[in-house]
Amino acid sequence: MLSPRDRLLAWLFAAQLLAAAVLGVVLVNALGGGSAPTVLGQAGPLPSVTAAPSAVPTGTVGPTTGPRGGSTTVTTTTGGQQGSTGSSGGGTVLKPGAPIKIGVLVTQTGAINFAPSAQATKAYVDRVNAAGGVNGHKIELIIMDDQLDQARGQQAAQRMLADGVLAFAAWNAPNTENQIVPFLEANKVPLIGSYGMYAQYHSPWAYAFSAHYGHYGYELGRWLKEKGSTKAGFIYIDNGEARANDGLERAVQAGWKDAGGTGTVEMHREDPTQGVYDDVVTSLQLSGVDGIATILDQTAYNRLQQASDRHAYTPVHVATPLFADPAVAKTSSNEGTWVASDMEFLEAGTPAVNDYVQTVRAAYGAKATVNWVGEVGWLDAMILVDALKAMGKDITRAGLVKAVDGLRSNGYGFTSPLRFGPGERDLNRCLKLGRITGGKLVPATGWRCDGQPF
Amino acid sequence: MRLYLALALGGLPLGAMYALQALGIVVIYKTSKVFTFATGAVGMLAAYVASWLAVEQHVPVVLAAATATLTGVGVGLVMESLTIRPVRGAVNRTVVTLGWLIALQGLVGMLFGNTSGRQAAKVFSSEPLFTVQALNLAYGVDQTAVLLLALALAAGLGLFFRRSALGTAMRAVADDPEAAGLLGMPVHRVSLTAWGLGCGLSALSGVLVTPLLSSLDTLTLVVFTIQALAAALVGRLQSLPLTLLGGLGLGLVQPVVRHALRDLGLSGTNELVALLVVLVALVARRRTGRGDVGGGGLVPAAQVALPSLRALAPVVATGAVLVVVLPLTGSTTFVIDLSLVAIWALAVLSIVLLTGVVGQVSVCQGVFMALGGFGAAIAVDHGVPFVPALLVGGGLAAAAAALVALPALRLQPLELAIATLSLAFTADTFLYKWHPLVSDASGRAIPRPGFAEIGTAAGQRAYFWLLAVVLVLAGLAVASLRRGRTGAALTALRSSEAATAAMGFSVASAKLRGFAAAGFLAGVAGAAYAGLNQIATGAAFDTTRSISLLAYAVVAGVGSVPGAVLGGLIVTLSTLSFGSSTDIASGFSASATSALTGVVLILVLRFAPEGVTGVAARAVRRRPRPVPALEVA
Repeated sequence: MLSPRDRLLAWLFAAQLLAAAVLGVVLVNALGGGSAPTVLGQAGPLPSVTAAPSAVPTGTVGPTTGPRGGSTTVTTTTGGQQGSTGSSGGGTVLKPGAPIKIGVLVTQTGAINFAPSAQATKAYVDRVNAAGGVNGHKIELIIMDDQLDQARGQQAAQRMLADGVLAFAAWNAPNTENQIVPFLEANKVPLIGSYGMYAQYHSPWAYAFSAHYGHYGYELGRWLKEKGSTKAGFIYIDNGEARANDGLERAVQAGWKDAGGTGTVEMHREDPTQGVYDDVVTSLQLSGVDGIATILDQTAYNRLQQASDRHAYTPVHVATPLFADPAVAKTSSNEGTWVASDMEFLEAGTPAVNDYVQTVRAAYGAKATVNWVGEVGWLDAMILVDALKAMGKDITRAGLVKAVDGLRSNGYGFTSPLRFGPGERDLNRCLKLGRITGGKLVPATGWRCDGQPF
Repeated sequence: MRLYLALALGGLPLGAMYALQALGIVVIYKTSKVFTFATGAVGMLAAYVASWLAVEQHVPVVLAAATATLTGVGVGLVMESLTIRPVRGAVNRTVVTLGWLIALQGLVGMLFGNTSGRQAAKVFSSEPLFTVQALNLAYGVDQTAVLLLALALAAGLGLFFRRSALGTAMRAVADDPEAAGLLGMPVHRVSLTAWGLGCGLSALSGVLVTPLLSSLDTLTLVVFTIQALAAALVGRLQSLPLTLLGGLGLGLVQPVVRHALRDLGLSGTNELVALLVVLVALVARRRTGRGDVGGGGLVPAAQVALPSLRALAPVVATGAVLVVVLPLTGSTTFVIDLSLVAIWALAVLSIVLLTGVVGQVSVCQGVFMALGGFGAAIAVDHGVPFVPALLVGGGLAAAAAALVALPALRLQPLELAIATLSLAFTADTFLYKWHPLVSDASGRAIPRPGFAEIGTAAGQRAYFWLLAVVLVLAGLAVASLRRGRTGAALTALRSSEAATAAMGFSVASAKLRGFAAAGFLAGVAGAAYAGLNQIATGAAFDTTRSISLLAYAVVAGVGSVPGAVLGGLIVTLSTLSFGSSTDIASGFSASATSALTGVVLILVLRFAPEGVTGVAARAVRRRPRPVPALEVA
C-alpha cells in the first residue's frame, strides 16, 4: 500500500509535469508564438511552398562544397498547407491574396548589431505592400535575431522554414552565415542577399550583393600603395574562419604588390573583444609602418583611433565604410582617412540613396539609423522584389533562384552594375573611394573593379 | 626586446583598470567575507548613468561622474541590507551577487538599450600627456589619471584601514564579527559601509575605465571581472597594495603574451593569462594556509525525497502519455521547443547532481555543454553514428570536468565557484575560438541522419522522443546515485569532508566521480543541443548561460530530480522572446528576461533557498498525516 504521503508526492510530481506542459503550450504558443519571430508585414494564411523541378544554376563560381552544375529536382515541402491550391509540375500557385513569406535573420542585439539593415528591408517591403504587393501577393517578412550566436541563428532558420517561408533574404548575421550554406543546400532554400561570408559566394543557393572581402582586401592594398605608403600594415577583425582570413590576407598582399609595393604587409588579426589597441599601434610604429588598411567594426575603429591619437600616429589610412559610420567618433586621426566602399556613399546624395534615407527616416523617425549596413538591407529588398516580380505565377524556390539569375541591373543606384547570370555568385566586384575631409566624407573616385579570383 | 618593453609598459594603464575594479572586491571581502561577482556590473551601471547625465542631459561631466559613483554606493547599500545580510552562508551570498550581476545587466539593457553606439562620459581627454620617444610609448591624460587614481586609492584605503577608527572597526568585524558585536561595535553599520565603499569604487572605476575602452555596452566591463578576480586573488583578497600590483602585473604581462603568441592565431590570451593567475593564486592560498574563503556548500541543497518506484507509477504513466501526445498536437516549432525543454532539463539535472547531491558549486556547466557539442560533432566527422556520438560528447565533457575537479580537490566551494567562473569567462574568448576544437569555421556541423528532415515535423518529433528517453534515463540514474554506498558517500561529502573520510570514503574519489558524472550529463545535453541545431558552437554556452543555468537550478530546487524538468522549462522560456516586435527587435525582451532571472534568483535565495520544488515538498510534508483509527479490543 502506498502511504498517503507517497501518494501526495506522486501526484504532486504528476501535476508538475502536467503544469509544465500546459505552461509550455500556453506561453510558447499563445504569448510568443513558439519561435517568437518578429512578424512584420501583412498577416495572412500560410502559403504552401513547394519547389518544383527546375534548373538549378549552372556554371563555375570557384571551389564548391555543394551541388552544382546540371539540374536538380527540388521537391522540398515545408510549412502549412493553408492558402494553397496545390502544386503542379510548374510549381505552386498561391491563392490570390495569400502572402509570400520571407525569412530575414539580422543580428539586432549585442555589441555588434545590424539593426539598420532590418529597418531598411522592412521599410522597402512595407512600401511595396502598400502599393499592392507583388503580382497580387503581399510580402510577409519574418524577422528574427541570432544575437551573434550561430546555434540560435541556425535554430531560427529551422523555425522560419517550419513556418513556411519561400526563401530567406536580406540577412545580416555574420556569425550564422558562416555555417549556413550546408543548411541552405540540404533544404534547397535560397538566401537572397546577405552580409557575405566566404561560402556564400560559392553556393548556388546563396547570393551576396556586397563585394567579397577578397575584392576589398585587394583594393585596399592597391590604394594603400597609391596613396603614398612605403611600408604597410593591415588590421582586421578575425572572420572566425581560417580560409576567409587567409584569403583576405592574400588579397591585401596581392593588391599591395600589384600596385608596386615592396616587402610584405604586416598583418594584425584582432579579436572582436580586444579592449585596447595601444599595443597594436606601438607595434606598427616600431616597425616603421606608414600606411594601414583596416577592416574593423565601429567599436574597434574607435579603439584604434583613440590609441592613434595618444601615440600621435597618423599613417596613410584606407578603411571600410563602417569607418564613416555615425557611431565612430570624429577625432584628429580621423581626418584625411580614405574610405573604400562597394555601395554608393550616403554623402553622394544620388536619387536612389536619397530615396532610401528619406523612406527609412519617415518610417522610423528618431529611431532611424541610416548607414552602409542599411544600404545593403535596402538593396537586398529591391532585388528580392524584382525577382519575385519576374517569377510571375511560378512561385517556387528554384524559380526564385532562376529569376534572380535572370535579372539585369545597372546597380540599382547603389553599386556598380551587378553581374547577374546563371551560376554567377561573385556579383559585385567594384569599389569606390572617398575621403574624410573637414569631418565629412567626400566622394573621391568612380568605381574601380578587379577580376581577382577569390 | 625594445618592442616587448614598450608593449609591457604600454599595458600599465590597462593593469590600473583591472586594479581599480579589484580594489572594490577586496574592500568588500575584507569586511564581509563575501566574494562579489557584481563589481563589473555595478561599474557598467554607473558608466551608463554618467553617460546619460553628461551626454544626454548635458550635466557637467564631473557632476555626472560623482552622481554615477553615488549610484554605485546606493546599489551597494541596498545589496548588503536587503539581499546579503538576510541570506545564510558565504556561498549563498556569493550566488546572490551573481543574481545582481545578471539583474543589473538586464536592467541597464531595459533602461538604456543593449546595443553599442552610446557615447561614454569622458572625464579626461585621451590627448597624449607624455611620451617616451625611444620606446614609442605614449600615455594619454585619461590613462595617466586612471594609473594615478589606482595608486592613490590603494595607498589611501590602506591608510584608512590602518589608521581610522572606522577602518579598525572594519578589520575587527572581518576577523570576528561576533566578538566585535559583543564589544559594542556596530557590526551591521560597518558591513553596510564596506559594501557602499566597495560598490562606490566599482562605480568610479566603471565611469573612468569605459571611455578608455571606447565601448559602452552591457558586456565589456562584466568580462573585465575575470581580470579583477585575478588581481584580487594576487592580493589574497586582503592586501590592497598586492592587489594593485596584481592588476599592474597583469597589464604588463598580457600585451607581451598576446604579441608573442600572435602567430599562433589564438584568441582570448588575456583571459587565459588571468585564468592561470587565478588558479595559481587559489592553490597558493591553500598551501599557505590562507584558505579562509570557505563557507560550506550551497546551503539550500536540502534534498527532496524521492517517492518509491510504486508511487512513481502515476508520474511515469502521465509523463509517458504527455511525451507521446504533446509532439503530435503542436506545430514543428512547438516540437523544437519541447526538445529544448528536454535539453535544458538535462543540463539542470547536471547541476542537481553536482550541487544538490555532491555539494559543489560550478559556474561553468555551460562550458561542459559546449564541449559535449564539439565532441559529438568531431565524433560524427570521424564516422561515429549520431546517437553514440552524443555519448562521445558526454565523455569529452566528463573528462574535462574531471580535470576541473583536480584543483577542486584542494578548494573550498567558494574558491571553486571563483575558479569555475574564471574558466567560463576564458572559454568565451579562448576555448570557443580555438580552431582545433571548433574547426576553422568557428563551428562544427553535426548532421543527425535518421532524426531530421529539418523542416519536417516527423524528423523533429523523432528527435524529441530520443531526447525524452535520454532525459528519463538520466533522471533515473541521478536518483539511483542517491541510494546505496555511492549515495552515502556523496551525501556525506555534502555535509563534511572530514566526516566523509572518517566514514571510510575517499573524498577525492567521490568528488571526481561527482564532477565527471555531472560533466557527462551536461556534455550529453550540449551534444543534444548541437544536434537540434545541427551545428556545434560555443556562443550559446557563454558565461551568462552558465550563471543563469545555476540560477534556474536554484530557483527550481537543486535538491530535486524532478525539479530539473521545471528548471528545463524555465530555461526554455527564458530563451524565447516575448512582447511586441519592437521590444524583441530592440533587445528589450531579452533584457527584461535577464533582469527577471536575477531578481527571482535573489528572492529565492532570500526567502526560499530550497527552491520551488523544495517548498512544494515541504508543504506536502507539513500536511498532517491521517491518524490511524484505534482498534478497540
